[in-house]
Amino acid sequence: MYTFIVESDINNKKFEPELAKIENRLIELDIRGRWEKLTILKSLSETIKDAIQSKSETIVLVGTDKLINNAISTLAEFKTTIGIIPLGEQTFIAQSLGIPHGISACDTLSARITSSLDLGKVNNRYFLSALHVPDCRTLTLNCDNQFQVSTVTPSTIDISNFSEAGNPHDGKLEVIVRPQIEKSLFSFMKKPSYSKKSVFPFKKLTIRSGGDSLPIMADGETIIKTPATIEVVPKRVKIIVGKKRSFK
Amino acid sequence: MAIFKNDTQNSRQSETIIGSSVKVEGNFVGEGNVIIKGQLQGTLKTKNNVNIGPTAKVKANIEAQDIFLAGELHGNIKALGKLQIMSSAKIFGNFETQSLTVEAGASINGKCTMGSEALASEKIEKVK
Repeated sequence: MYTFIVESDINNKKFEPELAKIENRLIELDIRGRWEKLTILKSLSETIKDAIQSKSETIVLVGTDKLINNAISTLAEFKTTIGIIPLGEQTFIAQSLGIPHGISACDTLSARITSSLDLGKVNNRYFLSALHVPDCRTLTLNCDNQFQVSTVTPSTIDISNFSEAGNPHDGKLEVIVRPQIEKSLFSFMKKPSYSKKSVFPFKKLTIRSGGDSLPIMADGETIIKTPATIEVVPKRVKIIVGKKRSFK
Repeated sequence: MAIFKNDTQNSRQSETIIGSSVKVEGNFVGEGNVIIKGQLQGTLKTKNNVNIGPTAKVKANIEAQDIFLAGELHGNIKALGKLQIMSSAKIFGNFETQSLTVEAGASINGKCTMGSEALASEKIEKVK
């Protein structure tokens, strides 16, 4: 049985016509299940746990990256299959997984290509795609207790499972250190250069900042502050993916 | 020089890039290709290839399959396959390799052991 969980921001009049089309397309494809529409009073975590107790084998998240990031820590504790129907803005995770936006995602669900993916874990909280540390001045990264990386210039840090670099099947995450480009009068004329970026695959990473604690963000929201330990949890979740996914 | 493809392809294949804006210290043991454009201090061992760019400053012993060197290296090299030394390269250390190419202008300060002799001397050392 399927359970469809609709993000609270999607649960409004603007998306009603598209949600109705999606429901009709799913009936055409003979995909039936229970619909749960989140509100301020309805907890996502409890909704997922209720669905799993009701023996739901597939939980489909309907909404943006924010819903996926909020749901993944709870979903990682169970062996249920995860489906995604991207709706609204900021659906980069679904894009990387090869899932088309809106009604077309129903056909991806129907094709049911499943893939067991690695997850990242930061101080006991899971993430699927990527983390971001903005504006780091003095930062030390300890990779796998083997070597240390120090930033020489102000940089931004991205931890990626599959969004930009990496493969979510290789049992590793990637940390990407990108020096901040100095802004000048003519900088808008230049193409952004990433030739100075650094990439380190790792299984366990400790981030320490020299001065104040720095925010570690997922989907634009601060989820934790430095110091933090980030590690990979291999093949932790089973997700329905599309043919055009960014990894093999 | 086509030991490596472009940066995007490399990062998708889970490879390591030490850019010019970072400094790496410690013992790096990996399996993929490694591109060095910044500073490295310690040891580096990989089953694949190493590319040391012209801006790199390396103080490390390096062991890899093929090694392409265009920067400055203080340390010993062991290339199980090919070693290519470009005109901008400066080496202060000994190197072992199966196949060697050196461009005019390269600065080499060390002993070179090549081909079967390198493997033979290694075996003798192990017996000792």
